Amino acid sequence: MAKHSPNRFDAVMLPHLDAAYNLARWLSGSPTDADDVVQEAFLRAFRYFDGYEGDNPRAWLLAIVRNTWFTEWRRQHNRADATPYDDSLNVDDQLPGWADESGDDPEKLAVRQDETELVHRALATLPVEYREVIVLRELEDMSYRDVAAVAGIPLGTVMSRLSRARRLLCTAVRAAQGGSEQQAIRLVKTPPAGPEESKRGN
Amino acid sequence: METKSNSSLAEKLRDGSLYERAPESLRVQVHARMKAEAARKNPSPWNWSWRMAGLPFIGGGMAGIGLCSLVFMTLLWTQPPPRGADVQQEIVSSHVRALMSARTMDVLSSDQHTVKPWFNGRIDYAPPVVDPQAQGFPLVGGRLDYVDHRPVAVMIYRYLKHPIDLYVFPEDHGKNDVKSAPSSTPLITQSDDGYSLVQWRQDGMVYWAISDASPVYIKRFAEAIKAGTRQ
Repeated sequence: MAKHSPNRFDAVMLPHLDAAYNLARWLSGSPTDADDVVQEAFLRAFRYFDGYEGDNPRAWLLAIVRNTWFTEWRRQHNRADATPYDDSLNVDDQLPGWADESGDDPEKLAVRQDETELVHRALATLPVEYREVIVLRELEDMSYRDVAAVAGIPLGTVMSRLSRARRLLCTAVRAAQGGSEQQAIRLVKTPPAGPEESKRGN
Repeated sequence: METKSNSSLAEKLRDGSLYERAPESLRVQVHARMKAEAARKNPSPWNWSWRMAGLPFIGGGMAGIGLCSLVFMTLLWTQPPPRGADVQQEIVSSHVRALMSARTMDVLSSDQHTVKPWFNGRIDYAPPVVDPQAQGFPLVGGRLDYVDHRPVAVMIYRYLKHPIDLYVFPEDHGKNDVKSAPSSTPLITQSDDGYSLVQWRQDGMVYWAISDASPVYIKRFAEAIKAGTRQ
């Protein structure tokens, strides 16, 4: 039975190593964790390969990566072990008051060539549920159906979460941009000092 | 607005500048690991496509590989004591078995003062138990195991996500001559399955550590334990 021949698994799965690492890196925020996650995920993928019948190896593999990270690492992560990334930086609740403006559309928000790092950091501040869908949809260019499969959420949720995530990201990027240049024009709802300062702390 | 708008945020997201590519080292490691796993699943190293390639090729290939493995094996077997190599295999098997059965841990405690006395009455020696938590290797627990025809103490540690088993047992003065006994400097080996092992000797005890963490960390672990037991 050639199914488990190294060639077949490698040929089908190794092309998606970058995608696996990208997702693991954005989920965990740490290159060493991403390394571990990817290795563990590939092991699992190998072991479950017999059961793989699909035509979409990338989605199948990324679902494993995502589940590996969520079940194994997130538990560890919350014990304040290694990475300083703060998942509780909850942009969520504070933002609704700010969000009702033009410029919440990534298609319309301008970013300069040299603002890649800024955007990177802004994306990293998003809560993981929002970050995840942005990474899968925008960075990985997956269909809504694939995003739903990987993230384990219904299709409708993908849409609403993406739209929210895009708004959050826009706000984060604008705040970071505004901090270094001009005063950001905002419907001020006297937001609490926390999230605003850390976003500006560019 | 003075911003030079070179693109929109949407374009920036999609242009690949935020995409994290796998480092070359990871690529190599995954590839090697998959090969090892495949070899484990298919014990015969020759799969069908090789056979199709033609017998003369195979004959030559086999002869070459046979010769190489002969040389390799000779080198391998003449360095650590032959008895040591059997012990290594036993330790790998025992470690993997423990992992498969969801970590059989007879005593679950990160307190060395709980783990060490637990072994009293269960084995005929007192293993030194240290907790190099400060160096990143916290003690997780302990268990009894059976290696080389006798019950041995195993201390279980952790490095980030990776379990590390530390087998400690007294040297067998009768069977080993001084030359083939494990050295006091940690000797690192790698099992076929991809586990990292390190062994050393100190104060009449033999230490074996095994983990799926990479050899760099196993070495660090060994040094941390050595430093701890020296006190």
